[in-house]
Amino acid sequence: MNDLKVSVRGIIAAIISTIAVTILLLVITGDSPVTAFLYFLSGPFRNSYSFGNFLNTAFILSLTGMGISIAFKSGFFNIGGEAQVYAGTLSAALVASALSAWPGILGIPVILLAAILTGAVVAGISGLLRAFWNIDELISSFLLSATLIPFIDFLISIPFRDPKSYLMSSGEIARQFHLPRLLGASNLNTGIFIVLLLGVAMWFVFNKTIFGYELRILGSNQQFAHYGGIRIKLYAIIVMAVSGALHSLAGGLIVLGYNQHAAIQGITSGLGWNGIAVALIARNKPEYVFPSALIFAFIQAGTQTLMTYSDFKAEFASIIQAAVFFLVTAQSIRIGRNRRAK
Amino acid sequence: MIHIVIAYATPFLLAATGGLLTEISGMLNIALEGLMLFGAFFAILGTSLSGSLAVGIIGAVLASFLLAALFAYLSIRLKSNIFITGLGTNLFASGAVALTSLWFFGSKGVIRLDNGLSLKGITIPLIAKVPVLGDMLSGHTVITYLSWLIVAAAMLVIYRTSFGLNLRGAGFYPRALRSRGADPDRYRFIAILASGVTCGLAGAQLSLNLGAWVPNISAGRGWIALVAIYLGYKHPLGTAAACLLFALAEYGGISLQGRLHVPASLMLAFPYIVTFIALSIVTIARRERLK
Repeated sequence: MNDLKVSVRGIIAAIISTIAVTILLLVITGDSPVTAFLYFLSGPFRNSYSFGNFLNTAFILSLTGMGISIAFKSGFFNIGGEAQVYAGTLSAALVASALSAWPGILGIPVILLAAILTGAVVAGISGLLRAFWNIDELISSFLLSATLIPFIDFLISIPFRDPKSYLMSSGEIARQFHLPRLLGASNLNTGIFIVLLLGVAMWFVFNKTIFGYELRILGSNQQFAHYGGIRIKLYAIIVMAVSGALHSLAGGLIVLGYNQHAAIQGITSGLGWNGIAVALIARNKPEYVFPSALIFAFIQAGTQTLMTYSDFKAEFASIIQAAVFFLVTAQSIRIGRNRRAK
Repeated sequence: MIHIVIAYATPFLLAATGGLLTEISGMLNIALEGLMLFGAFFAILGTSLSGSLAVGIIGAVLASFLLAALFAYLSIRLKSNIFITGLGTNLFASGAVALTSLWFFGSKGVIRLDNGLSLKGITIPLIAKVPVLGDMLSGHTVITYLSWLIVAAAMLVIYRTSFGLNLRGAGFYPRALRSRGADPDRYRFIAILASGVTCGLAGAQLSLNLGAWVPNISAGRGWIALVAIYLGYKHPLGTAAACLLFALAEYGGISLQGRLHVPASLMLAFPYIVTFIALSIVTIARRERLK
C-alpha cells in the first residue's frame, strides 16, 4: 500500500515538474505563453485522430518502458533502446516484403518474431560481453546503438528505399499484414492487445515465479545473488536479450500498425530514451509502466501540437525530455530517502 | 601524419583525463559527450561576440564548467542516478545548444567565425628546426600543448598529492575515507567539475580549430574517451596512449573515406564501431590472458 502511494506520488511529481519546465520555457521564449500552453495541454484531445495516436504512442512507449524495466530491475543497463526499436522496424519491413504472398494470419507472427529476434540479438551481444568478459553493458549497448542507427539510416535511405515514397522509407508492406485500426484514421491498432498481454505476463513473471524472484535479487544485490547460486552470467544474457526483444517488438508493431506501414528513417526518435524515463517513473514495476507511458505520450502529443500550431521550436522537446530526466531521478531518490528515514 | 594524429588526439585526451578523475573517484561519467558539445558551441559563441579566441576558450570552459556543476549537483547532492542525469545532461546539451544557436545566430546549422578566424598552431622556435621531431611537436594549438600539461598535472595530482590519495580513496574504499574524516562526495564533486573544465577545452579545440560550429561536432568523442579510460587501465598515461590510438583510427577513417567513397551517412557509424571493436577485443584479450 505504501509502495503504491510512493509510486503515485512519483508519477504526480513527474507530471507537475514537466508542466513547470514547459511553462518556464514558454515564458522565457515569450511568444504568447498562455496560448502555447493551452495548445500543449489540448494536444491529445483535439479530435479522435490525435487521441488515438496519443493512446497508441503510450502503448508503444509501454513496450520500451517494460524493456528498460526488466533490465533495471535485474541490475543491468540497456541504453541502446533507440537502435533496438529501429532495427525492429527494419527487419519487420524486410521480412514482410519477403513474405508478401503469405496470408496475414501466418505472416504477422513470423514478422513480429523476426523483429523480436533482431533486438534480442543486438542487446544479447551486450549481455554476452558482460557475462563472459565483464564488459560494461551500458557502454557496449550505447556503442552498438550508435553504430546501428547511421547504418540503418543508410539502409533505409539507399538500398531499401522505396523510390515512390515521398518519405525516406522502405516500401509499404502488403495489405494483409496491416493490423486492424481501432479508432478512425488514427494509428491506434490491435497491436495494443499484444502489449497488454505482455504487461500482464511480465507482472506475473516478476511477482509470481522463481525466475522473477531471482531477477529481483540479482537487481538488489549481485553478490548475494552469486552466493545464493543464481547463475548471473546466464541471466545477464537472458535479461539483455529480453530487453532488446521488447524494444524491437515495438519496432515491429510500428511497421505493422502505424499508418505508413513501412520502416521510415528516424521514426523511432526518442522512443528508446523515453522508455528509460517511463521505467524510472514506474519504478521498474510492470503495473505502473502504462500510466507513466501515458504521461510521456501526453508530453509528446503536446509538444507536437505546439510545433505545428505555434512557432514553438523543435528543440524544446529535447530540453523538456532532459529536464524530466533530471527531475524524475531527483524525485525518485528524494522519495526513496524518505522511505529509508522511516 | 603523426602531427595530425596528435592534433586529433587532443579532444579525446582532454575529455578522457577529466573522465579519468571522476572514474577513479568512483563514478562513470557518461556526461563527457554533452559537456564537450557545450564547450564547442560556447567557444564559437564567445569568440564571435567578442572577436577574441581567448574569450571563446574561456567561455567554453565556463559553460562546460557550469553544466558540470549542474550535473554534479543533481547526481551527488540530490543523489539522483548518475547514469540518468548523465544521459539527461547529454540530451540537455544538444537541445540547449540548438536553441541558443537559433537565438544568437538565427540558425541551428553551421556557424562560421567571421573573417576566417580560427585557432592556429604555434611554432616553437627551437624544436621546429629539429628534423622529424619538429614536424611532430611544433605547430599545434595552445590547447593541444595544454592538454599534455594537463595529463602530466593529472598524474602528479593523482599519485603525488594527498588530494589524489583521497580521490582514489573515494573510489576505492569510501568508508576508509569517511573514517579519516573526509567526505567522498566532496572529492567526487570536484572531480566532475574538473571534467567540466577539460571537456570545455576539448570542445574549444574542436570548434575553434575548425573556425566553425557544426551541429553534433563532438560526434561521440565523449563516449570514446570513456572507453579510452578503460583501455588505458585507468592510468593517465595508458589513457593517453588509448587516445592516440583512437586518433589514429579517426585519421585512418578519414583517409579511407577519401579513397573508397563511403557514403557520408555510413561514416557516422565508423568511430563507434571502431571503439566497440577495440573495447571488446582488448578486454577479451586481457581476460583470457589472466586465465
